[in-house]
Amino acid sequence: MVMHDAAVAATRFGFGLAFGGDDALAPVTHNDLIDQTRRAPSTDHPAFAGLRPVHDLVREFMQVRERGGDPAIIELFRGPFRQTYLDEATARLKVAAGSRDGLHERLVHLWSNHFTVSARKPIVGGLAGAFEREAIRPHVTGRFADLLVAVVRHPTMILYLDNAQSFGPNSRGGRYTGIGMNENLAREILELHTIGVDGGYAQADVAGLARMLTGWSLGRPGKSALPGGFLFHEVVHEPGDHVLLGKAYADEGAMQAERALRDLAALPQTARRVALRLARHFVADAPPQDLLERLTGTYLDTGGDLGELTRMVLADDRAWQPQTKLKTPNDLVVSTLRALGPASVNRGAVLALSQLGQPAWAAPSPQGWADEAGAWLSPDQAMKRIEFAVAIADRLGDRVAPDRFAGAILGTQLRDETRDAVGRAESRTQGMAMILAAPEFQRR
Amino acid sequence: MVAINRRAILKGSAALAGAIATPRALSAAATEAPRLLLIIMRGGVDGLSLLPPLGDPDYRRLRPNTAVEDAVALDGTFGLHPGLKLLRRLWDRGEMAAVHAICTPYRDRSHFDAQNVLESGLPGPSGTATGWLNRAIALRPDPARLAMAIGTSPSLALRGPVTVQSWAPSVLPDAGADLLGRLAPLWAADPLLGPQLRQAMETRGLTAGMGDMGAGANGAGRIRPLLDGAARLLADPGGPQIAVVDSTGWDSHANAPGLLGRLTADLDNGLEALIAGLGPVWSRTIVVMVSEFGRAAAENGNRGADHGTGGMAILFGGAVAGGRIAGQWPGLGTRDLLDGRDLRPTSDIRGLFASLAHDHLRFPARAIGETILPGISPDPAFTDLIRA
Repeated sequence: MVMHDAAVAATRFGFGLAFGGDDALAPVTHNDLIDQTRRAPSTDHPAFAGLRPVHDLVREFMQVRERGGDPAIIELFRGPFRQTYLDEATARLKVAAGSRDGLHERLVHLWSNHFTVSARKPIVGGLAGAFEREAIRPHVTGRFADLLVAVVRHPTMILYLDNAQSFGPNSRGGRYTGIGMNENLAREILELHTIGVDGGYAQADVAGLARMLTGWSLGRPGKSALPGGFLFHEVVHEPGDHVLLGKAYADEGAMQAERALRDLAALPQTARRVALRLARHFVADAPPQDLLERLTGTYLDTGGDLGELTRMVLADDRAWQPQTKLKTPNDLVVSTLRALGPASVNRGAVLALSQLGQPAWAAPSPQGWADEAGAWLSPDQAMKRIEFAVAIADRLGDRVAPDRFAGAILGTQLRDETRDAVGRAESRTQGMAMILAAPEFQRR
Repeated sequence: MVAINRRAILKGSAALAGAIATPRALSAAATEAPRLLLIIMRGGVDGLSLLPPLGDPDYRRLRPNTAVEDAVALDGTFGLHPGLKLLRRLWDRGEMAAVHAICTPYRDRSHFDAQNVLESGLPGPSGTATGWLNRAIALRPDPARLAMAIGTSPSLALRGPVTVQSWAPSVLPDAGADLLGRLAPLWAADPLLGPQLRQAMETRGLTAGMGDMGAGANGAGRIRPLLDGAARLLADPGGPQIAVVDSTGWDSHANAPGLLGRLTADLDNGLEALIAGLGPVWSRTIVVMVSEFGRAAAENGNRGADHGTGGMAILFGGAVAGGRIAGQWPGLGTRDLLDGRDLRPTSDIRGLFASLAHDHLRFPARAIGETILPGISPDPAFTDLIRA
């Protein structure tokens, strides 16, 4: 049994250690981590106060669009949606940097990335924060199937992957408008969210799931109980039984696709991909095969209980080997902010994520960001990480004593060579930059 | 303890000083070397919109709402998207060519696997693949100087045994030589991070003063600072001979006319900076724009098109023998389509890469077939697109 080192507990399973006397950010124990796997992350963190639910944002968007009827409406909304994006991204950083439940925040970022929605599509920028708070947060220690259904029902995902525009060609709405199917959401559910590209599906399965998902849409203002929220729009649903992976699903309205989603979540191919996500994130880029097999088995035995799987990872000694993972830019920025205390979070931190190549909720595609070192290693990345450390250190000036800071945020991970080099720095500012740029702070 | 560390720092500083000096001191032969810029258009470019086959009798049947009617005619069959104004001018000067119905050997319509195949140059997707351009430069002396990734994280095409340099626009503060000299020995002890910083410090000599070129990390105008930087680096006598840039957002599932209008305008704006910046090396340059696949021949219900197969490639530059469209056009008739839905590929994109490697970059055919693009020979159909 390895030691449950406080620095590893904080950096591997959370976003790192903090400097200063804030009790809320005192180091967590192994038992604290286990406790977090047994409950869902809080959804009423003070930093979330004032942020609007997704239906509220979408309803406003639709009302303006209906008044104007103009395709330039996205332009009109870019300003306010950009503001919402910045507010949401700042709140996300505040919570990750300031919550005692660091494992919860790490799990939220992990599963939010698995189910990527991206601000590269302009309307998503304003809705991605609500998506993460509403569809991801409540489910990261629950069942994967519930997480999947919550994600696919969420208006942000429905808009991101074009499902609101997918009309069954034989539905009344499809026949009347001539609008047809869009298989984008169905394809990404199979390829990215559940069984994976090698999961054994064909084009016909994509089409089958897409037919079942027709009608998973959004309520229109004045025409539904919750305008801007999820609505099953019967009139555009492709009628009849539809087939996915050899199984026919009877036409039961929205339940048709929900049953298919729950069946996809129960498949061994999905279990293996969930196991790999967790093990790659918490153990190593190439996690051990025996652990993957045990995680897959537990997934299948427990009906995809993510809390149980997370506990299994925590119980594995190899998850406690220090420094095996390279921090992503998001890890680096959040752990730097956490080290300095949540009061350090501002808009500049959101922009720093862009500068380092990993802007919040803006992955280039639905595949999300890579969780392996290779994707984040380049000479330019190296220089940008050091420049980020310089920018932070410049802001701190000489207010912090580097030797105390190094001991507090790196703990057992601080190498003698780094301690000596920091001791010889030409200024406190340079010493702080060296700690934040040190290789042991670039890893977790 | 202290003495050892001080010596290590001195060694680091000396290496840095040497690295800044060397890129300028290359031989004349290197400055006359060919230049290749690969632009990877991610998302699956709709070749039927960028190079619309206006003369194909089935085009308007398949694209009743999204056919690009205002395309500029290039020849009796094909037009060019009206947003690509500069390419039109290059076509008139005989410096732009295109290939239609080209694709990787991959047929399953996943972006990520298709990009993996496109960039690895291998027959199928693989998690452990290296990039074909990385394998190419590895065959030459001093390979790390030969190529550069433009953008924050390097494309697979340039990943592999050689750690290539990379550059991206930045508004972060400069780290300063003194701090880098102090960090270098600390980073050198880390097997993953050490080589990256060493390469970065060598690049510094080359990219000094290029830091603040106005990167818009999110939103419009994303490609221009990247292409501007790529042009300056490729035109520098001590700079790379090969560069790779990503152009994203081409996944036109819905409202393709509007989306492609914005993307082509953005690209055209970037190409202006690229062409201007390449000036001194223009006559020796080929820029090749490729994508992981084309899109379905018929439009979908949302004025877009779903993932397809056969696509296009566009080549331009002073070393392109242009003014023509290469490749065999398979037609858009129902029986001509692959699986009844996609433009049928009639050439393998690896053959185009092999021709560029052979006729432009001057790699021997044997090295191409054995290492760079295993099992592939230069495609004779493309050889005469390249000026010898």
